[in-house]
Amino acid sequence: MSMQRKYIIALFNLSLCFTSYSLAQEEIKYERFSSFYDKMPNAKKGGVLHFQLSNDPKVMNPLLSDDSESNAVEGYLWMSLFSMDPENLSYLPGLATSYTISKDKKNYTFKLNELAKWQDETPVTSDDIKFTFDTLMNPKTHAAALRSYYEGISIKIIDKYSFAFIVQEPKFDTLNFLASFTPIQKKQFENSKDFNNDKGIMNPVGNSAYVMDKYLRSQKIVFKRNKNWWATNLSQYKSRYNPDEIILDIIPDPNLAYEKFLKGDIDQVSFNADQWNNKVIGIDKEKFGKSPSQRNLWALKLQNKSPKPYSFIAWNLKNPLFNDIKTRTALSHLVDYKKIIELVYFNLYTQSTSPFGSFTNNSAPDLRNKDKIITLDRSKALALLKEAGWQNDGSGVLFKIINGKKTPFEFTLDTNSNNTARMKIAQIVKESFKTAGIKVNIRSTEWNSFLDNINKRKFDALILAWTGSLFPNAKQIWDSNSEKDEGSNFIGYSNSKVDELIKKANTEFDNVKRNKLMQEMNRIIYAEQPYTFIAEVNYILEGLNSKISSSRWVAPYESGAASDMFYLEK
Amino acid sequence: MRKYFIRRFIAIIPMFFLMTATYFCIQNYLPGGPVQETLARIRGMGGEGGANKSIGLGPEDIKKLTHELEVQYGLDKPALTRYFIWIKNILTLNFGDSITTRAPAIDQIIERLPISLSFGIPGFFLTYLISIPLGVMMALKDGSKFDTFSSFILFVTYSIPALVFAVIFLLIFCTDRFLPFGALFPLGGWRADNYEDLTLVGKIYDLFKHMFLPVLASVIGNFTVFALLQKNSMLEVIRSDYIRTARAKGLSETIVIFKHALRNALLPLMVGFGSVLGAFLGGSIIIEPIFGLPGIGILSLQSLASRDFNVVMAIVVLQSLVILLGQILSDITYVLVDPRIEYK
Repeated sequence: MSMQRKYIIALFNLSLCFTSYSLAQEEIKYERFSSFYDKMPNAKKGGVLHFQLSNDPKVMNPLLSDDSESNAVEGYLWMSLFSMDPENLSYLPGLATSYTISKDKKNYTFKLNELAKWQDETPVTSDDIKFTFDTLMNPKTHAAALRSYYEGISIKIIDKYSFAFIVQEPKFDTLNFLASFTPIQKKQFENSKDFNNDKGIMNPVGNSAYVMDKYLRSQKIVFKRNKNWWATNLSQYKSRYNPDEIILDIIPDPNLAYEKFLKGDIDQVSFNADQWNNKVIGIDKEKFGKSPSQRNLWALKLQNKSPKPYSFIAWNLKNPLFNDIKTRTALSHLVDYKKIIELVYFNLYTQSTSPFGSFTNNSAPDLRNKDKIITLDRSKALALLKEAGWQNDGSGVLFKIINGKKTPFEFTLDTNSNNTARMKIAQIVKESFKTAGIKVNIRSTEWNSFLDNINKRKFDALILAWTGSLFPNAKQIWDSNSEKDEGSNFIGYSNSKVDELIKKANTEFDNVKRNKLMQEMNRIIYAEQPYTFIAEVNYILEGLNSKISSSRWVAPYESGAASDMFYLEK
Repeated sequence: MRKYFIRRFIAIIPMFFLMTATYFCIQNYLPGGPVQETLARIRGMGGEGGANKSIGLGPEDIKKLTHELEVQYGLDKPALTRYFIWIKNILTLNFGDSITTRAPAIDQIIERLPISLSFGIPGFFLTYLISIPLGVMMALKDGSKFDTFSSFILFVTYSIPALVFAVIFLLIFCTDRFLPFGALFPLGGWRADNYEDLTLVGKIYDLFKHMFLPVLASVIGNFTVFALLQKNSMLEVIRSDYIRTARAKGLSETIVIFKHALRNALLPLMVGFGSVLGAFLGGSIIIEPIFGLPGIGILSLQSLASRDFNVVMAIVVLQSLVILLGQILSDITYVLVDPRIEYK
């Protein structure tokens, strides 16, 4: 759902406005940039579209959701203060019309659009904002995840339509999550005795383009276009959210969803590399056109700048087998990246060189040069292993004297059992390592047990992926401090220079300077190979029904076809 | 007899506690759980989805989040305390809320039960209605072409899992891939989009269209064993002395078979009656996902995977009661089938 995508992007990515959000000690006022939406041709309103939802939403409330299904539903019902233009990452007015940031960047004043209304025609006011904020910050509210974004922030009401967030420690992405603040209606919940279990949680009162008409659990959710939507005539919204009805069919099984798409029961579907290779360009190639004009169904395949997940092998640095840079670099040289990309990802992925999105401004482009990128090089790997003290006694498995004990180079490679791609990677790695005298035992466990092993640090090495982020915060995974307890630095990576760079980057408001700090971090991490970076997604792959028209299928920073721009000609 | 059944009903209570306590222990000692799963999702672990929501969660944030989520999911108390709280709650029919959907666990089961029953009950009766006559016929025509042909068919259906049949049915009859005139049945789901607008006849027909293939797949997956069991049991009975005596007395073949032989031959099939009933009423974790039927089977699968404790336990309670009551029902059918049986 592109509305959800915009919501997520808006929540967690920085705007290019940060170029103006510099260290200059002056007040910053919101500036509205021209958008594609302002100029897009008129789209026909009407019709019904069916989309797939893989599960029931946990809630229909923007404060309580922590799952993608709930986020998808939110996108239809609620607006945030600002949204983000997926073409140039500038802010577009939503419920608010403007913001002002104080010189010290600790005071963010927002002005609401006085026309903004809830679906019951009552106005959206500062009272709603304050009520939402107070509810969110109440420790009893089941919104632990969202609350963490707003720790150290307070709110001040100025008048009926103006309010300010007061921030103790502003960071590079503070404006981002303040602009994406999504209020709920005070009137609906003010008398609630138990907000978490209030009936209103599943009976949403929103302020956006659609209203929920019907929800049949595990079957479907029906949204009807809000004909009295207050923002219909705003230039950035007038030709979007066009179908009269949107039905989210709840189909957990991806194969069934695919068959339903072929049959025309649902109108849009996302493909993984496996489906694309085996079905779209394989057994079902006759069914798909390359554009809407060719056949009833068409397959969209394109590249853009949206953040992509990347897969990697993580080495447990607390294990003496992997606490040496030369050994880890050797292991990375033993991975057959080309074979993995060809056999596992069907050339729809590309080799990864960074934890920050290899092709974004946060990553060092020089690492992709032939002389720097780590490729399969057996002789180099063997030389490095020798330098690291690994010896061959003719048994077929290398050994090293560690703490006075002869230790064979044998370890367990973990992955989660429901991910066939990672299982295949594990097999390829095992075979490749065997040729160098390294014995790999593969262990695949179901997701919950796998997570448990990670959190308890009960692993030698593992294959996993991190979700991509356009403006990532390296603190979570790469800061030494994040190793403690059950932090995300589960490999125990520690580098004081990287720690310092993280601190600097997180308080650097100038985008260009911040990119440089991130690139420096990327070079240090890549040189130390705490992860063997494997591959990241290269394409957006989707199936669409040709009855759908759109002025633009995918914007540069969208992670899929933009359903908010779909319309039906007939 | 009455005393026996009263005793059996009373015995349900300790059995029920034993079953639920066992499941409770298993659930608690499984690694991982909803807290870790939610945290992984928040952290962007796994690589699924779009841009992650990471704001640089340090260990302090993770610790705080973990505690808040434990409180939210009711996992902040010791396991034994939680079990007693759970027992206290279910005595007032409060099964708690689902972790994954936040709705009352019992509501989810009540919502989904009709879906599972829609193919469970017809499947249950059809299984017996097909396997008993078929088994009897095969026994009576033992060694004939009919017996050979039936045995071959049964061998095939026994060898191929219900899962495969379900997928084949779905691809052939619900898609446009194979049939020249298009799909005969809807592709998954429980009801048509316009179900609420249909007439009563229309609703029944719609239900039939949606349930025909799931019922067929579940029957094929089950009737083979029963038919063979019935055949072997019948063969044993018709070769016994008292049947020979009945024939020698000049009784007609119909009376010999249906009055004297069949009743005794049915007993082995009645042994598993309770468990079979439980299996049919508890939905199918194989059939439901394939046909996109949001029944108890899918709910069990999803709840187990996400460690949705309250829902799993509510399903366990339901299944335990059905199985325990089914066993008593089994005993009653024994008496109906064979009046010589007397419980003391």
